[in-house]
Amino acid sequence: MATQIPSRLSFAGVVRPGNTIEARWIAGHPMESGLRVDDSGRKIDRNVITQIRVSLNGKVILDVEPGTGMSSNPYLAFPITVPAEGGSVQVDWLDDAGNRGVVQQLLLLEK
Amino acid sequence: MIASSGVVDWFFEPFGFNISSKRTSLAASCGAALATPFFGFIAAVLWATVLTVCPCTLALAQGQASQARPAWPNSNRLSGSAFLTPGLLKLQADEANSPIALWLDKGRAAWADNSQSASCQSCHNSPQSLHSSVPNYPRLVPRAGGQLALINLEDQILQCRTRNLKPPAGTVPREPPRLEDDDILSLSALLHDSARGQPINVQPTREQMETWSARLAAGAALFATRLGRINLACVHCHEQNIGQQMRIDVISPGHPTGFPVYRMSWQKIGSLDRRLRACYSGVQAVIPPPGAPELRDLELFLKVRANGMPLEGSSIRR
Repeated sequence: MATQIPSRLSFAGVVRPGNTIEARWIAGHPMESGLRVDDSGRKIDRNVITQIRVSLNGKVILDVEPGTGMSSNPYLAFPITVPAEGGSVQVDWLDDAGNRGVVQQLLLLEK
Repeated sequence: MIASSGVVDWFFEPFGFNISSKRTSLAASCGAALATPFFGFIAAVLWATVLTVCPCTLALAQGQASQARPAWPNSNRLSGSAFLTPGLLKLQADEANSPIALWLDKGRAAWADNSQSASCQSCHNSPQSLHSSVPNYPRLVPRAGGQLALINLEDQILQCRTRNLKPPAGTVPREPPRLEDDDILSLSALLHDSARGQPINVQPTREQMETWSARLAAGAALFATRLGRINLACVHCHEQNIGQQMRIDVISPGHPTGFPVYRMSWQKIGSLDRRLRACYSGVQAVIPPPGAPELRDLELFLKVRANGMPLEGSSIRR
């Protein structure tokens, strides 16, 4: 059964061409380090997000390889310069267990 | 250190009847006069006695009361959110990026998930439809053999899912749901979120009065029982030392208004059941299993103690 891992993407700041806004991404991922054992002493398999790829209008603008040092429910904030025509931001991620996730958010231009 | 008037005092507090000589508590018992004629009568007599016979005592008691809790006015009715750091309050208020939003997302997905013959949605429509019954838990429900079981909202969700969700024919059955499952907790978070602002209202029905009172008394007794190697009872912190520092935290009155909580040290959402078990662990007592009857007794007492306080939806705690 594929576990449902929710993720969210939101923007802070005025979405206007040329403006730099902050994009915030958060995922409900356990980020299991592989160093812990369960109640019966068995090692829990490592399962962390190994790759986060952010693209703006289809072009990769940020590539992150997080490791075991990142906490569960990882949070990532990064600046984005809003292009003249607006567009959309997409975050793709991949973890050790082979789960993938994608979340997309439109840059709705403000007047 | 807060002046305490002892065990008797907090035991009667849930009924709006406080037999200490402080002016505030007497005013509270006069408030209860409308609801409970018997207590009201006694309270009115006491109140009249204090007013007419011993005004000096009243003045003295007032003086003591104002000295006792200078920094935390009305601290016995404060929600746990009042004790959060500014950073955590900011995170809690951020509905887009707080981790609670993730659990609400999970809850919405689980609510609508109809991969197992039925979904919450197919019977209850929207979570909003249950907002008025959420503040009534824990409640007594009949069981086979005429027994009454005390269940909280998570038990109810578990029971509902165990009874109604059947795997489709020809598929491998999933593991039966357990109390601490993500699905159960996220659904509980979703329902508590829909009941945000509703006052906690835990009352017995007339037929259940006897069992209910017995369970409440058991919970109240547990609240005052010293436990574990640390040998502390709940009252020692959550009644007598509210507002005091314990290690890095400030002690709250322990009102369960923000459950299920996202605790930073758990890095996930947990129920009141788990929080109480963490208290058992904190005082180095034998930890009861999830769903143990004594945990439900204690939860009943805590909810009755917080009757009238608004539910706050899922909250963040340290």
